[in-house]
Amino acid sequence: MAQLEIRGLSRSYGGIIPALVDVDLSIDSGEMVALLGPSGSGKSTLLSLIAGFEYPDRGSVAVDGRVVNARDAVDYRRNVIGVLFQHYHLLETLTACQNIELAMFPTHAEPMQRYRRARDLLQQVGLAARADQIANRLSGGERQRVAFCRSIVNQPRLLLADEPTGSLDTASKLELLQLLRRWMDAERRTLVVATHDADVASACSRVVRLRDGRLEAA
Amino acid sequence: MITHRREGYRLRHLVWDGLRLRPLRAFAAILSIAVTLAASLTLIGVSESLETSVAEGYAARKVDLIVMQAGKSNPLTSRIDTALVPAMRALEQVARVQPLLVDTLLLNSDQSILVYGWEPTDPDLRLTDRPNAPLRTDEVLIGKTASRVADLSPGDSVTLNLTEFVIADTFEANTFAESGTLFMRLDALQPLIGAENRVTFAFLELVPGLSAARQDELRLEIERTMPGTTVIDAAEFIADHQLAAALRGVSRITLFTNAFLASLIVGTLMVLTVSERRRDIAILRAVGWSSWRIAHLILFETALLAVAAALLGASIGWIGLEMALSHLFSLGFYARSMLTPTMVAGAALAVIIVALLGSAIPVYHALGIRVADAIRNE
Repeated sequence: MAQLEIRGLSRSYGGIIPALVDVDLSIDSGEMVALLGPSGSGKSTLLSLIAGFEYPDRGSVAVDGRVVNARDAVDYRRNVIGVLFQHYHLLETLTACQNIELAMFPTHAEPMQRYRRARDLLQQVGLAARADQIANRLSGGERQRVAFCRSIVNQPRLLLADEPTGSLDTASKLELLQLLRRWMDAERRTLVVATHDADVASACSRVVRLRDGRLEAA
Repeated sequence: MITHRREGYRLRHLVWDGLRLRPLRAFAAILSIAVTLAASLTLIGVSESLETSVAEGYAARKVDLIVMQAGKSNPLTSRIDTALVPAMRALEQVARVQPLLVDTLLLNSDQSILVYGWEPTDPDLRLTDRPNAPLRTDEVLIGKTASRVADLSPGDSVTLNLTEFVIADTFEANTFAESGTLFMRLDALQPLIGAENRVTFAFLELVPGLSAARQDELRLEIERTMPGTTVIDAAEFIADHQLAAALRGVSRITLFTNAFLASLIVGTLMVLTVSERRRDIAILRAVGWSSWRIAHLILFETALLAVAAALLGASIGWIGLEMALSHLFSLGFYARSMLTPTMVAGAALAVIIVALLGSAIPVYHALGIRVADAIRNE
């Protein structure tokens, strides 16, 4: 059975503008899948629906056989998925370390455990020296690495990345791709990345193309 | 940051960091809630203190029961026959009877003043400079507040209902209300207001050790044998004391108004904070924070503001009350502070509860933030 099963997924805004139309998609555990398409093709909406940030008009998203719904949203976001955003979405006034620790608040980890784990991850992405730096004083590449640490800190089975390199320069982009690849190799988890960047798509094991809210035939 | 390193980042650190980011707003919230609490405490304190002062005044006079005309909602309009006084004195459970006539008279043709008429031998008519000589029928005693307000001193002449009297002395009032009155002989006041053979009340001091049941029996006996009278105990009478009751009412209304205001202040400021932190809240939800944890964050921040406001407000309120009572004392109102640490703690706790209630709207607002919308609109 596929880890991620999407069946007949449709979503429109205001009941008029169709963002996704009847999308079917299966992704197996351990796959690194790129959702490729131009702006407005529905990539971000699809990721948002998979993440349970919003819900479809029709169809369903199931992860490991469990349909994503509002009732289990908290547990799902905490234990099943990790999300990496294009604009990092860090709490700007907190430090790199604190941003990662916040994601562990809903877990049973003790404060010192959270702190140590955050420091450890920051060390792994080469940011040990920047751990106590306020987020808004970090460079774009550093912020995205902090956001990456936050997205994987609770060891999600499924990592969702929405244009993760969209705000990065080439060097930072390559660095992030390397981190994602390394994490995939080490953890054997699943990654779904929405992108319009061919470099990112080529780094993935499978590419799914979206246009005008519909999946294009492979 | 050093603290966080030692013990890890906790919710309280997040709350504290949030408050530090908006110091002016936090200060404004604390100050405004503190002022509402201080105002409430001062007013309640004054009301309680004055009410207690009335109670202590009657206790000092050893008044257990008060006989007055039945069916009078305003006690000052009560009139009972003086012939009933000897009958009351004849009752074996009664140790002492103080008949009293009260009326409002025109002082020097331009202001009203409450005048009490006591029996000539009543200890309330004692004179400091000639203690063994009774007050004459053309003399009055003036309370210290009345003396100050009307600028009258012993030796001055005054007219009451166009009849001339001489102020013989000032007196220390048993209660704050009496301090603004004149005392005179009952047999001088009765013809002055056309109330011959009439008094307003009879204050009864009962023999010591009389049980509550025997007191009730006595009340019934008086009401039965002296038709047209009603007998109330001092506590009921004090509860009906017009000035004390008015103050109590005002203080309660103010308390509710201030509680509503405090709640509104907290609610408004926290709604503003939640609106500004919409994106942050959406991020927290995106990483798995539950509704309860988000609510906890807001409630914690509110509670922190409220505790600071409660401490500040209680301090200001206490000082305010002392100042108010000191001012009242200078006017002749002898009320001592009845504000206890328990009352202050209760008021502070009430502020915290009110503030938390006030944060219901911001919590609701925060829980309504949809992750997709908040993040997409960034």
